[in-house]
Amino acid sequence: MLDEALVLLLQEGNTEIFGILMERYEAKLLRYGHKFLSDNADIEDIVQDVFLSVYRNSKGFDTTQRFSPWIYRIAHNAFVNALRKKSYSPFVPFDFDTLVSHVVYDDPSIKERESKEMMMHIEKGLNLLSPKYKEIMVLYYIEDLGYKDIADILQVPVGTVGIRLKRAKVALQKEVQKKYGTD
Amino acid sequence: MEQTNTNIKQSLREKVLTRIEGNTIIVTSRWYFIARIALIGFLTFAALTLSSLLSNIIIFIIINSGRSILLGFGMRGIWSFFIFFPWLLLFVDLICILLLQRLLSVFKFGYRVPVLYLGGIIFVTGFLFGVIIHHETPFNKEIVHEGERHHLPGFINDFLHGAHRPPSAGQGMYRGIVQSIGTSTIIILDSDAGTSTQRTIILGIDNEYATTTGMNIGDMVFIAGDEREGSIYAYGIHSIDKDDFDEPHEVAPVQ
Repeated sequence: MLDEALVLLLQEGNTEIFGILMERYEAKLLRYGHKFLSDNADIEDIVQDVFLSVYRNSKGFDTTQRFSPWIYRIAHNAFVNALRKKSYSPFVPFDFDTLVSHVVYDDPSIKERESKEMMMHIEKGLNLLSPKYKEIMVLYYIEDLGYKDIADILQVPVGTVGIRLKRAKVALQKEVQKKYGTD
Repeated sequence: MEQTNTNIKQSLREKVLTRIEGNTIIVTSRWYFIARIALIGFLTFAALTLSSLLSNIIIFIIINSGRSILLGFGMRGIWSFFIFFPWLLLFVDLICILLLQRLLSVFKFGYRVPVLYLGGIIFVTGFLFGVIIHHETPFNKEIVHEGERHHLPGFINDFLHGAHRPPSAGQGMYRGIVQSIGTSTIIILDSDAGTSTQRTIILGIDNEYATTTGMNIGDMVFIAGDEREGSIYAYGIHSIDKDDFDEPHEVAPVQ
């Protein structure tokens, strides 16, 4: 059964369904959280809060939309807030990538082709990236989400996703090269 | 390791499900989300209305005070136009637009469209509505007439008086009725200053923006120039239609 159908049942009062949703997303969210924070206890607490928030706001979810970007959006906000608290920086810099349109193409064949090389770089150098670039690399290569889903999670234009991903790849390659030298 | 992870995961799942089954988690009612959307809709409408009204007021000030005429006086006129543009009102309008953008970012179309494009669309929409209010409705005329009858709060009356006058004398803009026309001078009766004042306007040589061509005694004119030794050295003169200006006249309040 699709996630959206499960949420529809949840909205009608079938709370047992929530266990199935948790089963589907628990590992993903814990893995996602590890890209933001390092403390397992913190990550677990935040994932718990995410699930409770999903349950609490389940009646606000539009079941004609996809569930995955919605839960990732809640998780993104929770982890970013946690990161912000840890860095003691309440200031959110303005994202200039969202000002104008960028033409981008989400080509699955390109993704498949470069995936192997990128995964090697990601293993070596993901933690060397800034949170903005780290997150988009995680969502695209590890969580295997498309541009539109990532746009809905981060609430930015689709073009911004493409441009940010491009910059993240360049930054990652630079960092890996700097740390490990040329292959 | 996998066993430990499984234990952690079961523990997390159990914690959440226990809290749900214990009825300690209150599910937010659907009506809350409906009310939220309705509130956003109302605030969006209010912000767009305010933006339109601000655009209308800006247009009203620019046209009724004669500032729009400055654009026809060459580079100096264009520079003066920007100096005397009601920037504060435009700034408030931009704040409205930012607020509107923030409200709309709750929806997919709000965040999928780049910020500048959405801001531009909102600004143009508000501006167009402002133009429609000014040109196609009697809204501004009615406000002026209500002000004349003292039906509006004092600060609005003061604002309307100020919006009609060019920036105060000494800042380079004047308005008056032509009393006499000479070869290189004209005399006007300036009533914007409160009491009627005669002013001598000196016309420059070979200045295409400041000529008496087509001018008659009794015409109302708008003048841009520098005041020196009691005379105004004009860099731009333009005849204006008295009917275009809803000059506020004080009307005694009804007893």
